[in-house]
Amino acid sequence: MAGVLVYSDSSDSALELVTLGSKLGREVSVVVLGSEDLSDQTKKVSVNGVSTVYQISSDALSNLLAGPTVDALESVYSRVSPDYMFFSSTKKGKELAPRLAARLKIGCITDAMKPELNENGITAERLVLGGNAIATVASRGPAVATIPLRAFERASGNASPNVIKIEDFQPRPTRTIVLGRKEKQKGQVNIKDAEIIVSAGRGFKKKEDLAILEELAKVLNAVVGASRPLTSDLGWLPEDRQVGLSGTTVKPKLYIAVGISGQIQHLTGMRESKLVVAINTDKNAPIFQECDYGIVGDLYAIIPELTKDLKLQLGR
Amino acid sequence: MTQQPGTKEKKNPLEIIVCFKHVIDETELRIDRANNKINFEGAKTKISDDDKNAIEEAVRIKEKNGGIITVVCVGPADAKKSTKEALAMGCDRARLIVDPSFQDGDALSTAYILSQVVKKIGKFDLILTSTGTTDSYTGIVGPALAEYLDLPQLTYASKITISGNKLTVDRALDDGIETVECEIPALVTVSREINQPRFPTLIQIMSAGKKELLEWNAQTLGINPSVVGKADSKVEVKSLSVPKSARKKVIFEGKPEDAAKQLAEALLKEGAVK
Amino acid sequence: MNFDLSDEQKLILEVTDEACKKIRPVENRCYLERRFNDQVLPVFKEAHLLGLPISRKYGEGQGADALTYALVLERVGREGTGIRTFFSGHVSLGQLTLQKWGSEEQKQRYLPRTTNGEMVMAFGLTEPTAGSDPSAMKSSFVERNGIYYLDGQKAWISNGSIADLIVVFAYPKGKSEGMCAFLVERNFEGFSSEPIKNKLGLPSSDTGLLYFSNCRIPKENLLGPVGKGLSVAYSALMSGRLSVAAGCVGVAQDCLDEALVYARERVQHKKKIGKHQLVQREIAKISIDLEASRMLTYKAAVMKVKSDESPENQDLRSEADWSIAEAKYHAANVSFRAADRALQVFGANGFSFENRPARHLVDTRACRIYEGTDQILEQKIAIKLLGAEFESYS
Repeated sequence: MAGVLVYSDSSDSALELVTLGSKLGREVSVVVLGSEDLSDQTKKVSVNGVSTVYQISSDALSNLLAGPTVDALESVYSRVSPDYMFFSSTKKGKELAPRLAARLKIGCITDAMKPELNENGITAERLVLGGNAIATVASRGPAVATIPLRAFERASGNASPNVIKIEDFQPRPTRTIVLGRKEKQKGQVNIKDAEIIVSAGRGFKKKEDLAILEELAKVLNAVVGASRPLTSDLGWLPEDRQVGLSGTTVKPKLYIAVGISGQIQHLTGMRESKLVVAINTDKNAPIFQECDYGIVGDLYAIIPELTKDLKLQLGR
Repeated sequence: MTQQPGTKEKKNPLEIIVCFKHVIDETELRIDRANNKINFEGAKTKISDDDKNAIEEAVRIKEKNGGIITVVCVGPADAKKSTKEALAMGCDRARLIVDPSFQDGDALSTAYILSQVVKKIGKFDLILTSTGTTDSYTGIVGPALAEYLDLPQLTYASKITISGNKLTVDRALDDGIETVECEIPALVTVSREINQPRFPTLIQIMSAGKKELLEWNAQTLGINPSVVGKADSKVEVKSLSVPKSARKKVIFEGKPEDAAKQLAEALLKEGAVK
Repeated sequence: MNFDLSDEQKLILEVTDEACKKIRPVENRCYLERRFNDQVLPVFKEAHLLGLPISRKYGEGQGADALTYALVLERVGREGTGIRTFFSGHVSLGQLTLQKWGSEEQKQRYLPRTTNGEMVMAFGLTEPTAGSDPSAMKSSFVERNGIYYLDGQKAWISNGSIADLIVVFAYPKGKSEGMCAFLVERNFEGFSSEPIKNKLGLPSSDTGLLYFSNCRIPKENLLGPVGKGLSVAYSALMSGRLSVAAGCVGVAQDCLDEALVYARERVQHKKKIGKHQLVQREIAKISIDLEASRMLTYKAAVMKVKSDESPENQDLRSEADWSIAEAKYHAANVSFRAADRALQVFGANGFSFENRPARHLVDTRACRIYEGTDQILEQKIAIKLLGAEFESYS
């Protein structure tokens, strides 16, 4: 029985893929790539369940551009001949998986939820038609798949897997170069791991009005998030607060959507929240189909009341 | 051919190929939750939203740099309407690829068919696709097409600049913007935020009918039907179901203070706030 | 006969649909807050629909025929009569009238700016004491040194208080014949306007009162031949009525759509109300009415296309005029009934402007009054059949 190979440009996400591999009862090998010494990365992924870590260090991999990265993954793949290869559903992962699959002439499943093995391939669920439907898809034989972030816990426990350095890596010639990089504008806030998120949407009429939401967030020890229009279009909040398909996928214990109608791009980013609350004037807003508790009404009247009540009840 | 002294060498126009998918309008589907069914009857169709951004970008590049845009769609026969829309938006000629053997293939199969179409078109400098289509959003076609054509792939473009043979792309990645450069030919997949697609005017819609629209099939492309479509798909869709929302959907109405109070109590009871 | 739409018609409808989807949330807010929706103009400008049936010679004119234009107005009508009324005032009654009767110089001067939305148009015929009976109009003008001076008042003018250019009708002072039409710019001396408040419906659409006090109109702004004002008005009303008919078909369609959604979801007596046969009857009746209205309207639009192609042919014109009157009468009544039925399907929830049937019910009521009341149209239709000698008010 061949194993699974996992690769992610972030070690943390790679550990989630290791958990998946172990869960499927397969031997897991991890690929680490870069242009320098890879011992730190290798150490991070040396956890229970990992049998082998393959390292390729090459100048061609300094920016992890798709071309040389796929070349590197191909060279590991051909050595290991795994049945399955998993990537994280990050933008990087999703540009690599299809190209590698096309090169290897095997199947490709992106954003695979609930991946399972069947007799001759892998079965998974995918959200399609704007989240209106779930397609159950199956590969015929070996496949690569990208797995949504945080779908699995990170594997842990120190271990000492085999470490194999691939020295004879020869990337194809490439004509693509990186001219520069601009990090996303970041606030102090980490929305990704927040336990409670209160998110603002188009229902807010002006930037100053977000103060009432900040007030609620303070009482709840919550982080303020936002839907795409408020970050990308209006710039009321930094980009790293954006919840949704083009922002961050979040999984808090409590998600309060205020003045957010619930476009599918947004819903995709918060669907995994444990408890969802929606406050919106439009009772037909899609968010009300995706909430546990909802209030149809004017957020300007409701939020201060809610803040007052919770402050009282929580004794803050 | 000799050059007149003082005249610049005449540059060949930029040849752009843009690919789109004709999809069901997912926003107007009727979902029958009770019977776990999606009602496709009479469903509207459209150019996939993100593909419209790719078409728009192709037209903007042409408006800036000059050039000729060939728009390509692999789809059902009724994709002709969408193809005309792409022409109305400013594409110059269209190739609509229709063949029963191409139906129900996986995205890799579509990418392979597109690669054969591109080869038949012959000359090109730039291929544009979206990052994903609104129906299945696999995001496979762009990178796979680049692989089949052995082209550099510049994905998630939020800005594209072409100067001579040089192509510069801002890529909107998870953690920031990466600016990359390469020489054409290349394949670029665009992000939604790259532009706001235009509305074609009625005049443009009417004149789209006069532009070249060729229908090609497996035979024209010299594709053996057994290596594409459902016959060759490495991933198949087994079933389609309606997601069950496990949410409670308890809605409080009435006066703001009453609704807020009920909500606060519910949150405490759930142990969601501490 | 073939009822298929061309790909081109489907595409312009998709463009319209996208614009309509953009305007819907804005219109929702404006309607509930009972304020003018100032986004209608920019949204439909972006979709290049503000000069749809105007000749391509003029600015953003797109040269659509009357049928294509009617199809677009049907889609617009689904968003609400207020939004469609903007088109009726600006395009059907305003620009089409200017295009038909204006001199080449007038058309060059104004149509590029009206088709691109720089100027909004309106049509001023009705007065506080003259609605169905234009001969009772009190607005009058005198001519001095090549300038017309206009006095009077106009009421219930769609787009009236927002328009930049208004087609205005008046009699020569002291007479009730020889009516003339004028193009009045908002900034002409002696012109003022205000919006009408406390309307039954159409809260997000502008309905204005216009005042002319010795309003100074340069000679080159006379529209059409001297004394031919009534002909100008009647031709305008043909286009206007067709736009109302098309819009009302859209309203009925929206009522049907809303009723279907509600009947599929709402549960009473332990089953979806769509399973109750008396609810099914309401739905069937809306649908039958709607289809009949749609066919009458499409036929009227086709007749209008024919008449537009042969402007000299009076028989064609008269046929089109009659078809349009029938279509407008039918669709205005059907949309009102459809709103009432949809409201009934909604039950108590129908009795709120939060839901669309209630809005349609009050808004579409206007359509049985403006651009020919039910009664005037009934007479018009009957006289066409009985013969001109049966004209009631001649």
